[in-house]
Amino acid sequence: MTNNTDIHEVASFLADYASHLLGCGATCIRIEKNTHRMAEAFGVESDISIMPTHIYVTACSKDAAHNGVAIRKTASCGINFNLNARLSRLSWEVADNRLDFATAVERFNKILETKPTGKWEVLFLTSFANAAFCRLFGGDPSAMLIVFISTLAGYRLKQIMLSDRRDVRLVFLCASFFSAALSAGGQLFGIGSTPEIALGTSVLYLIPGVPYINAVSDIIYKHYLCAFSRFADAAVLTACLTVGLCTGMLILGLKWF
Amino acid sequence: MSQSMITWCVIAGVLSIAFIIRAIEWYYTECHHSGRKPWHIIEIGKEREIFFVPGDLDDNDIEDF
Repeated sequence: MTNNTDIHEVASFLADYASHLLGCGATCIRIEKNTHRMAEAFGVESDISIMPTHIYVTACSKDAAHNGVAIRKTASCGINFNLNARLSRLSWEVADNRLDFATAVERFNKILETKPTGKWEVLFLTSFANAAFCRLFGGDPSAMLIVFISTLAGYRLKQIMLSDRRDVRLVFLCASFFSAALSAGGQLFGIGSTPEIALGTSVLYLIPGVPYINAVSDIIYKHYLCAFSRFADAAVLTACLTVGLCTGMLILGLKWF
Repeated sequence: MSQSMITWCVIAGVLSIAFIIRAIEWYYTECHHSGRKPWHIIEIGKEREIFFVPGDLDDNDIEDF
């Protein structure tokens, strides 16, 4: 890197890269390691500050003659492990294969163009996965079928409401209410021998597991602000889920214990 | 049929109707209104649609500053 313009470009690229990693559900330690790895390969010193909604990247030349700072808002790409893995692989390609800066930017832009998994695919796979959860908790085949149908309906509702840009907390509340209410049908109509397991597992697909796990990882690596932010987000969503579930049970007159 | 069963049927019915309406909207938008804004039978309006003051920008205006 020879001049200030180059350094600014590197800082901007690293900030874009880090903001997408944060947006797609990577932990802070992964973001730090990946950006430092790439900065090292580009021959610059870098420092990164990760806030819950923003990323600050500072890059400077080895002789400290030139420097640049870039700030980016966290990309709103949703949790996406495919994107996460491909972005991480890019950092290794840059470090191991010594990709030049222009090629790295080109590959980065190509990765961002990747289409997300099809919504119908995700809908059916989530429903099957939740039915499998029901089996893990001891549900019989009829309970699994009930969970499959209630998850299918609840998740579809979630997709529709999110595509309409409704508030995510309202989305979780509505999805959990309808899933719980539908699965309560097993208990009301006396279907199968484990209707209570169907009711309990029908809302498991809404548990925000990734933010909880990432919060623990961030605490371990002392990123307390991000950890607290992720934990608070996940706790709010879990509270909405609980309200939906309890409202469903209350309206249908089911026993709590 | 108990009250709980009737409530369950109402909830299931409301959700089914919502999905059917959504499917009709999707069909109408895709087949008759291609390229336009999505068409909705029922929708929650935006604040600025309710409190529109002449001179406010709307979605079709181009910001030229």
